[in-house]
Amino acid sequence: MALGFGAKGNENIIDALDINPRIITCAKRVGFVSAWQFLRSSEGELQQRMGLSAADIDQLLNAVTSHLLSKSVTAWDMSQEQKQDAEVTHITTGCQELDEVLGGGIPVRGITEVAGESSSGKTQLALQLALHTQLPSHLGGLGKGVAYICTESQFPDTLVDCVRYQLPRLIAQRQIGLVIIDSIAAAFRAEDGTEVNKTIPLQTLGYRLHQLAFYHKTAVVAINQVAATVQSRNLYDITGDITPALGLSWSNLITTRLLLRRTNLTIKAQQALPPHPKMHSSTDRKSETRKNTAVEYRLRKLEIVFSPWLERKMATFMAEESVRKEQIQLPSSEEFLSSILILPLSPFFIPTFLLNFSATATASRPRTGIGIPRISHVFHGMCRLLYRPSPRSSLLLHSLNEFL
Amino acid sequence: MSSRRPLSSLGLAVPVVTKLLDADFVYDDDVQSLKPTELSAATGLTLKESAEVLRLAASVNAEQPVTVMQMIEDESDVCHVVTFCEALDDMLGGGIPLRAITEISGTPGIGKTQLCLQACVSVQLPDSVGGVGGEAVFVDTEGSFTVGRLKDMASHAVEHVQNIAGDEIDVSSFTIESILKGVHYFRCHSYIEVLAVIRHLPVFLQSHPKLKLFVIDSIAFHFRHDFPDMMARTGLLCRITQQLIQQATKYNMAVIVTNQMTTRIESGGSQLVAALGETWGHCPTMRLTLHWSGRVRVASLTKAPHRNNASIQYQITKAGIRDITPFMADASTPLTMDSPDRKKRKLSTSM
Repeated sequence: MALGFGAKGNENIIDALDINPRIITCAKRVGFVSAWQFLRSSEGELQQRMGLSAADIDQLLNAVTSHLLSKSVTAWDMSQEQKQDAEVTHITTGCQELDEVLGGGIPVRGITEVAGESSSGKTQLALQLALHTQLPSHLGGLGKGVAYICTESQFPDTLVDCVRYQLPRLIAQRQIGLVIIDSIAAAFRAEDGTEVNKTIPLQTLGYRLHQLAFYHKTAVVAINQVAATVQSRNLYDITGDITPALGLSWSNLITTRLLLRRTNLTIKAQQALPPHPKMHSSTDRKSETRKNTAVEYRLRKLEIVFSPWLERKMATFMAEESVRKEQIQLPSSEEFLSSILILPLSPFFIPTFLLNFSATATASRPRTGIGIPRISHVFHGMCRLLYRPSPRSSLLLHSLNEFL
Repeated sequence: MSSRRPLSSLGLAVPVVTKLLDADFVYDDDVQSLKPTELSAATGLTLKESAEVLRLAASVNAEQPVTVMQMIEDESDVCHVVTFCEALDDMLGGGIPLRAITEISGTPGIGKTQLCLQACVSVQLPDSVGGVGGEAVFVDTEGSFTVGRLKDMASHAVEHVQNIAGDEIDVSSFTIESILKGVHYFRCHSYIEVLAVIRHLPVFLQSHPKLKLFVIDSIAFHFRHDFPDMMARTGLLCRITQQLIQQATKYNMAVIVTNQMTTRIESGGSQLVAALGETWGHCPTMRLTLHWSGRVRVASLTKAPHRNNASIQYQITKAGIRDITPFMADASTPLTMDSPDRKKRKLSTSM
């Protein structure tokens, strides 16, 4: 029986062990009841403290370890289990090229960092993922909700508390398939702390996110900023002079690192532009004739800096605006949107609540402090269909227009 | 000739030792000639306790010192796990050594886990082609173990061995399935579970005597954070090392622990060093650091008992860890009943 999330080995396990009661009594008599106490001491110390023989201590420790450890599996057993499902599940990005280099999309395993300069497309990618998570699995999603945590110059402790307390509660109540932190750098850079002050909350955060990801089978995406590389400190073989922020201690915590970049290259295309978004009713919009215009798109790159199961490749993509009405047999957009739960972080911190994204809700803009005003910005962002869509992803992103 | 050990050093319970001392039994040769009934009568111990005392007193004397000649002869057997990167194997003196703890440190993404996976495959190379022919335990603390990668490496290893063996040696039992079955996986979510796995190792070895490789990837992850008592951490890590080296020498096993890097602030600036502190640095037998040098991956040997510190280049391919410039296997080399060294050289030649 493996330890559960958050367990530190301080709980009483002595009573649960199947050993000679005499040993249990001796242990309890000196106050030794937890796994930590048994495993941190040497066998000699345990013999001395409890007045037991080497053989007794041996029996005790064997019982402790079989209580703590799940039975080992062989790699063959693991490969057989995976015949049914893929070893790593993925959430589609909605873009074929990106999905290909990523092995299906962003992985539902460990922490995936999306780093990049400003306007490289990080938030857009995150939003795209947020929506795709809700697709059923045969369309590349997980059929689950999303917790989108917006941070903007907040105190690191607030974010840590959110992840430690609010987030697990939320995940327990709702089926959450993806947790997005946008952005982790913002939470930790605003504060003028010394290196030491930042490291501990950062590690706590990373550690908790890993636990959540594992025990709830949730994908975690952390958006990060980049900074200029300090001379000759190219630790990850990244081309160009940029390094993701937050240093080595953060880098040691993530599983996959992706880097987004803008390039100087653009491509031109003929595009039928949508009618003006400020139209009041959808019927008015439909009647408006579409004009064909030449549009220029900036090319961007996604680089896999490291990942345990991926080759280090690059993919090129573009962000485009488009409106395509397509048939989908999916829940209505309203239901879609209502399962994106945005956890705002602000000095006037309010415990987790759900925002129902119907048209009326966004119009009324609940007063929740600094975090929330970003939401309308978030929604405008979601109106754009971001990447070259894959055949699977016939998401009605454009129709969000109708709700705003 | 008895070694005259005090009875208090045999691992007996304190009340038992007290009773023995009260009856003037101090050293092991005081009790040797006695029968359990006689000892019970003299000390007031139960028959069971007396039997235990006599058993321990006898077993202590059974441990004889070993001559150095014997040790040299023992060591001439295969004692390295090849990495399939000839440059790395040469630098390490044949490969990852058995009966030693090798620490592999490096920045994220440099290939620590990949090297560990490669070793899990290489340790299983059959002894008929000069391999160790053993099984592996992989203790995963970060969740970076992928069966897919292991499978890729296994498939290339099988092909390679079949090429070497040709028609003369039967390596039909060395298959992808057998390799995957020979890797035992433990996932640890806390330092408690890591401590438990290490404590469990002797028991595991009883039921899996073919075990020749024990990997912890990484030892740093749980011990760098959320650890209740940082002062005690170093002592605990040293004790873990002692337990591991004990098992490693007793069972002729290789131990690999991976470590993270951290920055150490020095007067001139900051330096990249292996994590877990200075005292930990003395614990592993051998220390290897992986890093980028320009666009090439480099492995540097920073501590080794009888090798020179050096650096070599390597790459990571679909097949696993390989040299930058592959050597071609010499097809004309005849396969004879040769020494382990010659077999090893053919073995680590990459395809």
